[in-house]
Amino acid sequence: MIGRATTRVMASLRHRLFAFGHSLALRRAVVGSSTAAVAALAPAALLHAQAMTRAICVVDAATNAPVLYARVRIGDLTLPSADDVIGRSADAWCVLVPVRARGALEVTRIGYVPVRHSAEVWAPEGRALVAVPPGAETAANADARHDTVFVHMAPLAAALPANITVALSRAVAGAGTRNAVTLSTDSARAMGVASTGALAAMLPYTLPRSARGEVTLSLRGARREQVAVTLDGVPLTDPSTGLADLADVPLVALRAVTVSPGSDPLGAGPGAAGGVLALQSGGGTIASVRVAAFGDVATEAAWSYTRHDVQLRIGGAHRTARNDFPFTNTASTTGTSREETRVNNDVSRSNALVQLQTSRAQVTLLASHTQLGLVGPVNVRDNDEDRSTTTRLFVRGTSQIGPTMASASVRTFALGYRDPTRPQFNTDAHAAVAEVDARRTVAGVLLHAGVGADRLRSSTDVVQDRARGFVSMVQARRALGVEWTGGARADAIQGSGVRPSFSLAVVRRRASAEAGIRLAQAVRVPTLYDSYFSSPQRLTVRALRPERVVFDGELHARWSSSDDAFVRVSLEGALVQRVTRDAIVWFPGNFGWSPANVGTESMRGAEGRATVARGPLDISVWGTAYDPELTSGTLRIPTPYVPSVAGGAISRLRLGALQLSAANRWVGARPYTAGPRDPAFMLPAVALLDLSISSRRALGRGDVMLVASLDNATNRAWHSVRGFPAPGRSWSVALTIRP
Amino acid sequence: MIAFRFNLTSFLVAGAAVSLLSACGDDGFADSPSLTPRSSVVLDGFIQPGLTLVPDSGASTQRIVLGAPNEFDAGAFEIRNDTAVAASSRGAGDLLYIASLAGGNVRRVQMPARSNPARARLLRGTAGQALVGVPLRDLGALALVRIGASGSFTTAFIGDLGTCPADVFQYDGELWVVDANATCASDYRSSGPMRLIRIPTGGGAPQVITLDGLRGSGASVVVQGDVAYISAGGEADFSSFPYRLVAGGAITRVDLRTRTVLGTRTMPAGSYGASSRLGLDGQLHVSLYEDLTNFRSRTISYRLPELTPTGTRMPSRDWLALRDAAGEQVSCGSSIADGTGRLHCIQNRTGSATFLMIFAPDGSLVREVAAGQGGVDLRFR
Repeated sequence: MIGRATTRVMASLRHRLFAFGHSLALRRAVVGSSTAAVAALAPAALLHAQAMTRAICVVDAATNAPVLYARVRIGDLTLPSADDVIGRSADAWCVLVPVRARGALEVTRIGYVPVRHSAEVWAPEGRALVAVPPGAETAANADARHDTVFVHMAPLAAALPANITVALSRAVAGAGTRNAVTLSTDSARAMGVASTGALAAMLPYTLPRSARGEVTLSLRGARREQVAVTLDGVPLTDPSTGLADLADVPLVALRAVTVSPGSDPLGAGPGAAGGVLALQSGGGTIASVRVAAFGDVATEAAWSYTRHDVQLRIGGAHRTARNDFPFTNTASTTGTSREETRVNNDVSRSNALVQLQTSRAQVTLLASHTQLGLVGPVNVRDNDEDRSTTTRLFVRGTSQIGPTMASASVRTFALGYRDPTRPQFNTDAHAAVAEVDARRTVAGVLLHAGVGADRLRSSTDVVQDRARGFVSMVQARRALGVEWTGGARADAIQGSGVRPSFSLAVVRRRASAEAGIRLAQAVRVPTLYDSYFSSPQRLTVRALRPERVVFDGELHARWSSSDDAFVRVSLEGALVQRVTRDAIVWFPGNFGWSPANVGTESMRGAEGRATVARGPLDISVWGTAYDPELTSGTLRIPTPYVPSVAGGAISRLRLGALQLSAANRWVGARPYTAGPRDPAFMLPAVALLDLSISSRRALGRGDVMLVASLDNATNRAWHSVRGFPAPGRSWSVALTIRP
Repeated sequence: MIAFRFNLTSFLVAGAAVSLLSACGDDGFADSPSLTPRSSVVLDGFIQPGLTLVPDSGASTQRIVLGAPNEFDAGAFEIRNDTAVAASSRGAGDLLYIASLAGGNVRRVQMPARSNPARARLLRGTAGQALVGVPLRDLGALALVRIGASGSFTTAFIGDLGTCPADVFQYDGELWVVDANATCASDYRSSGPMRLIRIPTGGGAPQVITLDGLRGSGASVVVQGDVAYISAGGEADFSSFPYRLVAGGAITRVDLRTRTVLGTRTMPAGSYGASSRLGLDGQLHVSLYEDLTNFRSRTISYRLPELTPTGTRMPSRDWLALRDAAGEQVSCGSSIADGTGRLHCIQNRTGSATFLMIFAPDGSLVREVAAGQGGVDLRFR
């Protein structure tokens, strides 16, 4: 079907797609605009009338990220076959079709609203639709003529479209209402990232922290339990802790991750008061091995098989590390600094991944088993033998029947705590979540409803069950020259009644700029008994009201220079405010040692980000300034571990196959207790620098990448959690093959 | 009969907190009786560990930071002159804290790893040295920290002091240790009645006095004249709901001169805990929880030496009738009275915000002052 010329086009296009890294710097224009399905074409590039083939690239309307494994049908022709896919990376999903192919275009993908366009719309007779991205006119394809049609698919999983920057260096305006950024795992690997936690740390606006192997994060000045982590739209947050541990999600399972600060009651439901970290599952075949300091050895691989309408992906990951790094104890009782080595800080983590997908159904299974040494704080030797075992299972099945997408998911979490010196303290806990939901669009309104149940059992006689359900509706319209997106949601939670939420966003767009405002209310239901508390003592659990975000506002603006500017620049910023009533905070106490509704939290702040790209160099810089404070009676308490100011920068320089990367991170002084602001209880500000160099070479139809990294290159002594020192300067080498 | 063996070791730990020495006092520690305290001192035991000094009048307070919350978990402290001492358990680094209330400086002394200090007591040193006693529960030992004039200190240990030494005091030049006789190295369950152990100054076999009426894992001692009032909090099973009271709290009087038990006063039925403080009014004020359901803090004031409940009490109850300005009952703990009969106590409210509350002898609230966060103990300066 596809001849020599097509092969040349494939080669050039693949080169282009990969050469641009994760950035598809393509011009787009919206035709036939609707929220449900948008085919975006390129009028400025209607230059070449003699195209021989046509490439259809499918991208997420919310994120501009590629939609892998989309099924394209033109008339009677169903694509893709294995040879038709010319971009199967984390950066693109494009198929080639004969330029003479005519008929209605139908694109389907589980999780997205199907796109249908008549031939007159997507490929009018006598007009070729050609998009030539900047830089595509290379020597390799100077005479290649091809059309590129971009199909934007509206995700069913995300109720509110996000205004998301796909590239590190490019602010790509899309249909959206949020100040959000996506980073692909492929780009992150090239910068030395080897774990999902490290991936989150590369994103702007995030404040990850870790003490005992777990990785959680704060967004937009929120407590970490106010941040929702989702995988393909399904929350991963554990009902018994209110947290999702990013360390238990293998990088090989992911294609990209999107950070989306701000309450998202409609997209992620209860628990997304501070924002959402949306993990998107990946595809393709990949194998990677990484060796790093302190006995850190990580291997991961995934194998993808496609036949007819079925894609199967099987993967696994395994990592062991001693993590016995040296550190300087500046808080010893001797009054002088002392060089010590972390003990009981080892980790052994295994993951398994199975993804089965057709154009109408999808099943994802993710399992992890982790054994950790539960190292204690510096100067505390009581935890030197404590061990923890966690086992997680995530299974989700989704089926699409016409415009309705139905999903069922089960998540389980088992925790075992062992203290060999005091077996009386050994505890086990098991949490489980089951959910079913369905969504469809009716008259332009996305309806979403579901029911679920949470369950917790522990060896300390804890028995807790909770049923819940929800219904939401979202609609987007264009009126009065602006885009309106709004919706409402009602959550019915056993023991907490019915809790409404809403969100309304308005965006006005220009060719190179946009501005918008978003308002929302949200809720966060209390977590069940905290299974991480390791004690034979049964604690009193107070009856709690859900905490309510009564106001979450965001005023954002974005500007970007034209693609052909000498230096491509983008600027974005947001002013934000959030007020939370009945904040649920864990204040230690004696017999009342459990979370309580303690008062009102308020947060005001600003976020900003700038990107600059010129030739082989691109730089992305971000910064945040937040002032979150809890008012409880006479107390004024800043949110622990949220610095007043923070920022970061990522710089990349590409020299042929080489890429040099520098990741800076500045974290201002931040409180580490739930007490009034006091310099004695603040962690000092710290500036961190990670360096990496990568080389990517073609290997068959894929590539091979070698990355060498130096983390904490300036060897700063710092704690992300007080008492838990982070490693100093450390090295790693990773080899990744994508056949 | 348990045989006790002495094991005395000592080592020198370099130190340089000279200013603390003056805080300790160069003549040991002398009591300074007066009707009203210079200030009330609240020990904030968690979140932001420290001492909050509340003057007897005025609104200003002073705060002394003790350390990070994961290195401090003391539930009790002691003040003499201008020195305060407290100790963290094994879960918070096995540390002795010595704070100067005058200078505001704090010194930490590392106790043996996993020794699980119960508390710290200011003892009377010799030859110008300050002396702090720290019962080490998981070692069954007592640490004696001697601080010299130069600020350097030595630590000596006395071992074989039972299964869970919980408190220490001096009488007639001799050291006495209360052994809670509980499995404090694991789950803190009581193994039997508590014991009072006398350590002869000149060596020789220790004397053990069984305290039949006292059970639990925590104990505290108040010495008044020749009598030791030993309080035990009782024992409860907190491993399942509803919590189950195994043994209530009690106070045993021991004649230290004759080394005999004079009697035991049990706390009201259903109550849990018995935290005793000797007030400037000469009475013993005991804080406890009314029950294991609501954990409402109550105070019983006992007249010494016979331990007779006294004060303005609630009808048919032993505990005091404390009322706020609106006449509502007040739950308040860590109580101690000044020489005028005013009862001082602390209350933790939402967000663990601590308030010092002062009640007139008739139980009416006369003063309320914010006093930090996470209050666990109260003493007079």
